[in-house]
Amino acid sequence: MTLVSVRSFSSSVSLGKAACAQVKPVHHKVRIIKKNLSPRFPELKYPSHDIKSPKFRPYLTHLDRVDHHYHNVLESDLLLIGYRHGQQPIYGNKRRHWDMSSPYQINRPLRKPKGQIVPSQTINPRDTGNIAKLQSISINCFVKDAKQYPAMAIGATLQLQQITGVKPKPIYAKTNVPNWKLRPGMKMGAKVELFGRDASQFLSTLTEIVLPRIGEFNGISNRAGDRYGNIAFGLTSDHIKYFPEIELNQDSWPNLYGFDITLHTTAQTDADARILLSGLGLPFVGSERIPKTLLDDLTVHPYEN
Amino acid sequence: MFNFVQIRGYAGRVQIQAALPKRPLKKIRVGKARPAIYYKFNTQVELSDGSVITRRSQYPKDELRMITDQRNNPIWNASKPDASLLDAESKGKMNKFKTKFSAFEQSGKSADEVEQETKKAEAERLERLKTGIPTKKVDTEEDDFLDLLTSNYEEVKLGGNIAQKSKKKK
Amino acid sequence: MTTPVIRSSLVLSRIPIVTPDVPAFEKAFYQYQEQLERRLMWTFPKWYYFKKGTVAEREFSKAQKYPIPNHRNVWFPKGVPDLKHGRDRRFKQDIILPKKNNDVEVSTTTDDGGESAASELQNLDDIGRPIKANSRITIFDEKNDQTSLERKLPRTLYLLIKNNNNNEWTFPSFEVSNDQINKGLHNIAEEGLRNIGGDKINTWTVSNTPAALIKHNNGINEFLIKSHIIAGKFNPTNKNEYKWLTKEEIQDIVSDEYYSKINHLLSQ
Repeated sequence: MTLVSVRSFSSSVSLGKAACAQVKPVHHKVRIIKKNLSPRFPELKYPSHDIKSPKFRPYLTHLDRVDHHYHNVLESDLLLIGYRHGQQPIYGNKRRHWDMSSPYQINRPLRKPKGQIVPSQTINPRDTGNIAKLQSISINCFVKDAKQYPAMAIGATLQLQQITGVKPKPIYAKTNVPNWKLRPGMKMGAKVELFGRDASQFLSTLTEIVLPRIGEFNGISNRAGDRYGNIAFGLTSDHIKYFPEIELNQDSWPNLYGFDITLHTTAQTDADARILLSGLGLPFVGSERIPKTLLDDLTVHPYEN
Repeated sequence: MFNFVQIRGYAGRVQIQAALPKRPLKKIRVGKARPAIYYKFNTQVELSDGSVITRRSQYPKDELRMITDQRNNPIWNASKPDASLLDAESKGKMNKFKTKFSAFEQSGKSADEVEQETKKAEAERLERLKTGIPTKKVDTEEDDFLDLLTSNYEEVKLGGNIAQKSKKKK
Repeated sequence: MTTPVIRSSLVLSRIPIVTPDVPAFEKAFYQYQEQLERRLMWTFPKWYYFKKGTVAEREFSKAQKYPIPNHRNVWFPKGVPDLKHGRDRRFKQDIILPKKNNDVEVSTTTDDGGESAASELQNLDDIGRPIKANSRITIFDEKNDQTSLERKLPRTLYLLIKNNNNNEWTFPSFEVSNDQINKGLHNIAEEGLRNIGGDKINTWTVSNTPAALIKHNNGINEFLIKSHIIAGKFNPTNKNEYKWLTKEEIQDIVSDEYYSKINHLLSQ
């Protein structure tokens, strides 16, 4: 039997098929070669940037304004701001070796680091190789009421799709909390991770259009961050209406859903990430707390293991 | 009658389906076929200072004009006191008060004086816009009688240092 | 033993105001990629943005050019059309947005040259005027006025000053005397700039770390401090000659030896 070469996306091929294909209606008829969809021979597959691959998606479609500003202006400034003469690496708290006092310690996994469970990172001196860069932006929209009204999760998904222009992924409840009537597997909202031009446009929309129009906004808290250069903040449902796609189409949005935005950077510390992001147009407020260990980066530490 | 079937997905997630499908499902996951590329328009957005940026948006509109945005917000324009004053005042109670009672401010002045003052304010505003440095007030200019009230005033302190007593850690 | 003289120089730059000029090859590449993307785009969901029976929907439908649907007795030389939701699925979709009424009015007023400037001013109050980006080339570009900051908008401009003694163009440079030694190089450079260029200038110094060190043959160590102009204007107090120049223009004007030492600091 030969495969049907002209296959419509909106419906399954009815004749001679035992199974039904569930593909969203895309309406264009750019062919896919179905044998390439099979996971059986991965080495025969085309890479996703190859135009022959079914995953191909052109992404260099226009000049990236934010990226150009970063490379032309910010990058050299960030290097200069971060550079300190004679800077030494600050070694993180790593997993320890066993002292081998017992024969049972042979082939055991390494001991936990002192005083903590997860090992912490080593922070290297700033040089041309590790200038902070915005990697991606992830948006997480968890709707509490979705357990009562499952349609709200769909609304949140559509809202993220409209704002970012990228297909969101649903998020599901993981835990079972009988008191909240929450069971695992319930669809609770959507998330999306933006890279490249999508991230640049979302960031510039945020800094140029949305945040300046929020009345009570006076900056992202200086306390935000996960210690390793990822800064997160939230927008409430009242703030979402300032996104142009939502604002122009207000009739379609009887209720909006707030979300959390995480800005993933390659910065080694939160302070570096804040310098980068303020260069990209995000203001910060409040007192900054820098851990004491990060301040004495000019003294030579003994290598601890 | 419903048959409840549990299908365990890859992330250990339990999906509950109401009934058995008629044919066994064979999914082509969306990510494995053509990617989702939504129809987008190139929207020209004009910001409040006249600069035009291009956004790629799904909303069918090719032009968008902003009235308030980054370019006239005081937080982003610390070096332009004009923008900050304009915006900060337009929101506050003080501005509402001023617009309501501005007529009283000009009382007892001739038309020439009022005109001179507005001219001077305009010149100062332009200067501030150009340089970003607020113009200094000349001492002789100040005839603010409210200052007289505060000139020799010292705040009365009561209670000594009790209020500053810090909480002791247990 | 003589101590080497220290100088502190200021690399004062005006960062680009508009997006960079895209070379013809890159432009063609972007266009090719965009057309590929347009071909792969899903159908525009008209039913979501325009509710049935509204005026907007009617105007939108009127503006579209619908392809001819397939018919049994008609021969199509370029292949049988395959319509779905008013779109030929064999090609990319082109959505035509309905034009606003006032677009037509403005185009007629701009035709009669004399009134166009006045009408433009009037139009500034009109919130519905069509959006037109300002020209990327300013009058200062046309005049080639190199002392102006509103020139070469897509490029970074750097402030250069003519040295009165040897008629050489350099970055503004200031001597660090012995009593100023604890002041900080960046403070000395900033203060020196205010001395020669007036205080009607607002700058932001990037860091107190010098960006480069130039060791001159006569024992002078020149440290370069990086700074950006934010507002205001450089207004020389002692009739110094000054220019705001791009990287290529700096190469033409300064000595080769000096350029080879500052080359890596200059951005596009």
